[in-house]
Amino acid sequence: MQTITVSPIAISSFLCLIINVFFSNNNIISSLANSLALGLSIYLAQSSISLPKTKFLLFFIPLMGFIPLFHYAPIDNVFSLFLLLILIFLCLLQKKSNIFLLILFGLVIFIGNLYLSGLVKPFFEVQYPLFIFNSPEVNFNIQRHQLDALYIPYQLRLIIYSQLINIYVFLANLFNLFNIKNLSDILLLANFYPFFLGLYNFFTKKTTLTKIYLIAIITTFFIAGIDRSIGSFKSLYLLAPVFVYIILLGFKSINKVFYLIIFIVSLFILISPKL
Amino acid sequence: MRFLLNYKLLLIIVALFTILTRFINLSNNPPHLSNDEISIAYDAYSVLKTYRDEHNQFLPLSFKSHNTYKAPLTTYLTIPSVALLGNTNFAARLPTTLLGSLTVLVLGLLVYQLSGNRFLGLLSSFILSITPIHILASRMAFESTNALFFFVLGLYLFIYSLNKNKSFFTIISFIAFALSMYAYHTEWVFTPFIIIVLFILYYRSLTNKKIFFAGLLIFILLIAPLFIDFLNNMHSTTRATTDNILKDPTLAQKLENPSFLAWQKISFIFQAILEKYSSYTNFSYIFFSGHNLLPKDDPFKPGLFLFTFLPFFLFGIYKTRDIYKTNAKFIYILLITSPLTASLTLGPPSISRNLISIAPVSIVTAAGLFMFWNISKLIWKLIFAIFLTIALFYFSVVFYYHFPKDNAEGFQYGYEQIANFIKPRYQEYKKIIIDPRFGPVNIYSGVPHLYIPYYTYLDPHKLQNRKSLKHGSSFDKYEIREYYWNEEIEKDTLVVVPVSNPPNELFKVRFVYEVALPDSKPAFYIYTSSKD
Repeated sequence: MQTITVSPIAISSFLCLIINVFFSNNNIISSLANSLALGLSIYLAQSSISLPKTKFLLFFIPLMGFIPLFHYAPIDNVFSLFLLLILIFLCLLQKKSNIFLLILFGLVIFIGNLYLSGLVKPFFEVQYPLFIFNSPEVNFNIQRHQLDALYIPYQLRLIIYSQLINIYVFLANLFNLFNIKNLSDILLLANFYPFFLGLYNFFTKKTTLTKIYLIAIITTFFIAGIDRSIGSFKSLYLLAPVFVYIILLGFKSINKVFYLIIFIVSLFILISPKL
Repeated sequence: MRFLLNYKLLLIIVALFTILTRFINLSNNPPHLSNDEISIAYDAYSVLKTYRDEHNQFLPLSFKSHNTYKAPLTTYLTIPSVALLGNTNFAARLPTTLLGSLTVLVLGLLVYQLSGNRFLGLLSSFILSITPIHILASRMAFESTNALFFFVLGLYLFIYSLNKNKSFFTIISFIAFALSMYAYHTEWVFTPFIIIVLFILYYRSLTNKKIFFAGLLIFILLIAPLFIDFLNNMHSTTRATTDNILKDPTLAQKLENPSFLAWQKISFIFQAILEKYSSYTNFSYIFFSGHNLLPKDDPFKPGLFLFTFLPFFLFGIYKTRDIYKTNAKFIYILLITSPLTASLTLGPPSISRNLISIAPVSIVTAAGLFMFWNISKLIWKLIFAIFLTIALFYFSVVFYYHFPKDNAEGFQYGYEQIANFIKPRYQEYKKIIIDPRFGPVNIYSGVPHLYIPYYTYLDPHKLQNRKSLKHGSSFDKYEIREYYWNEEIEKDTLVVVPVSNPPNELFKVRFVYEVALPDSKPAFYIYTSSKD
């Protein structure tokens, strides 16, 4: 079983750079960071999965340059570097799993997501109104029900209708992010197919990367859940290497003809103006 | 023995939950018959008395209603209950409540046939029995609830006939499928699609293929009147033409714009459908906040299913292949395609258009819960039980306490109370004017022309022969129109106005009654020109 050569990865990175610069009109820092991140993500994933070297794979890998998440430019260019920093940590962790590195990796993801989501502005300006527990609507309704729920004594109402509801709001907020539209916007509709197949493998066949990626997923989900201004690109940008890994995991089982058909359809949607 | 104990216990729990959640206080929760419910109830009353609907159509196959052209089955099913129980909320809702409750049973039987495991069947019934959206849908005269019953019944009978090799049930299954199409419009598209899927997937298992085709022929013959009516009265396609996604203002604007190329327009349509499909399959909508029992931003709003079931649904997607084996493909197809019809329609996510989806979601969730129950330790089962109790508690207080108070206006609350006020005083007035507007600054327009005749048992001929007014209609001694206080008011006239339209102080009318919402806020005022 041979692993793929570097050339398709270079093509995908180059394609990604072209799209970033000429189609998404991103600045050079974000464009370079994105294309480098894509190349590194594919390299990391393929070295962990050891995909068979087939003609289709050589064709498939460059197509990953079309993944819209890698065409995203954060509000501040510097935030693009978080993605590269994460990938450097991933490379180090894959070579040697170390608890100290793992904690640092978790911290980078945590801080990176805080800045990307806008919950914290440079340098340490916490945006309290953007947190779900500061939602005026939620707090108003908690108070309204506390006064309104005459079926139980007032003291009990304070427990039943309390800030604990924010756990529910957190989950609702988080799962709202993972709808088909959002995933299609960030991954491209065609990649759903290998993504869902890969997701099945992700939870059944555990590798070193799986565990590390789980830390990234949980941290990102936590930040996304507490953010009132949740958005698919800014909230999931740092998970881009994980998505690439999962898509490549599912690649082995895809029907190639079917994939190519939906890829062409997806491409039309991608280049068409948005509704 | 342990299994039997569990089984019997679960059976009792399911039966109890189904009956309690669906029948308790049925007349008053939802707090009032809705716009669509009163239309169904009134048409049932009108057909019962005159064989004609409110628009004077003889035994229609498509009820015009408020230009929504309702599928006929629910109205015809309501006739016996209105005949037996009178013009009440209970009578209007009872047929749907009965079929909704039976859906819980039939779904369990279907899952038993699909899996060969009766405990799994019971689990799916249990899930549906406490599913918030099905509880609400079973407590209202919802066309889609009845359609769901006949659809699930059709599936059950079809799979049963395959498993037991009893051809007779294949024929019955097609009759049930045909009835589902008489019950709601979503099934016009979805039921034939599923019949094709069943044919493709189970063709090899059909021992008697002739019976399948005989059933199909009966199905076509049964639905033929529906389609002949559809073709003869193209107005009944109003719903198909006005409610389809192509009429979405943003989309329509882009489609009409000549600067976009054909492929771009196709892409727009695809994007619109994808967005709709995405909103119907959004986990947050299904398990956390899709059930509009409370105002939009209320965090206590439940999902269509209890949130506790989300992990089991996800686990169920993964385990369906192991549990349902040869039938897994059918379940996956059902799960993926059930929101498609609703996704082709206009407007925000509609519970009734997508009610069909609750069947596959329940089936898949049952698989996840079943596996969890088999492999997990007692402590995890206890944790699940605690979370389920919390979810049920919150749903119960929201549904049985807050919802009737917070959402009464949305159900046009007040017209039943107005009718009850008018009924004993009917002879005292020469004219009764009802302003159909309601809500804050009169932004909504109600249908008192149906509520008042229904609750006061007015002769349906009078409404059938109503006259059109400039801004409303009149029948018998009623005038249903917007009322402005600068008009001359005749002697012995009763005027019902929304709270946002009170008379000015100079106007000499006597206040006689206030209709308040369940939260005690006033909704309507009743005035009279009579002195006493």
